[in-house]
Amino acid sequence: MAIPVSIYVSANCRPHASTNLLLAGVKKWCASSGRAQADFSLVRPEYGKPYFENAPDIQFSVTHSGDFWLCAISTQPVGLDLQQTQPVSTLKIARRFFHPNEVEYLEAHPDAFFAVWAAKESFVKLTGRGIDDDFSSFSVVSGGRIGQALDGTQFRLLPFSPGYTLCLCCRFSAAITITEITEIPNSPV
Amino acid sequence: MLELMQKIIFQVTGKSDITYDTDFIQDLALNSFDIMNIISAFEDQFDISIPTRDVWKLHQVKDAIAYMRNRGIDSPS
Repeated sequence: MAIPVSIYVSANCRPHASTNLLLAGVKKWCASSGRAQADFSLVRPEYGKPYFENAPDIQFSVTHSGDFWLCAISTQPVGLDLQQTQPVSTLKIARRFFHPNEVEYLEAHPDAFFAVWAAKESFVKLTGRGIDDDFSSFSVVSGGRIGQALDGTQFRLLPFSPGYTLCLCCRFSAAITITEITEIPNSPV
Repeated sequence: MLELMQKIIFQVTGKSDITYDTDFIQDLALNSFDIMNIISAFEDQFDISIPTRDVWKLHQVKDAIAYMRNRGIDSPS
């Protein structure tokens, strides 16, 4: 049975608004899932994933790129990454940050650079390890495509605004909904 | 060194008005990829390798300048 994953989108990508946007997303998620709302207190450990001190079971992942901020919220761990397509030296960056399988895939699919990057970053967000010196030690390419790999981890490349690549990473079958956050929280937290 | 940093950051991100105190994430709204892209440009410019574990210690432009100086780079190559 698919597990719901709610993705919230805002066209406000100011870094100072991120925490307030996340709290707005969690409130919407609580309302839609019938969960009692609380004063959520966000904890940012030096290592590992941030979490809500009074609701550690709420799993979330935040991303921003270009004009957009997004978060994915679920009851199971998720990783979400958005990348705005831009002109970069893809092979040079790939040779430093990608697994040899991914570099080979990129050589055959030159337009897939940001899909590979978004998949890789969504995976390290899922695990909480972040981008580290081992970023090139794993491959999101399996069987000649970006897909199910890494011990059952699934990569879902989702349709989004033109010029952007969005990837959700999880270890379950996800029922995804995307909701826009139209109210813009102003005060930084 | 600041002028060179300003040039590299503008070339990679299109962001200007860079000062010593500019924070890559809070002020420039860069994400992880943007930062790694800048780091790759620094590596090319200064002909050094920057371990990824060091990247996350470079919050502001002045941190990057201090890092380069600690690596023995004090002027444009």
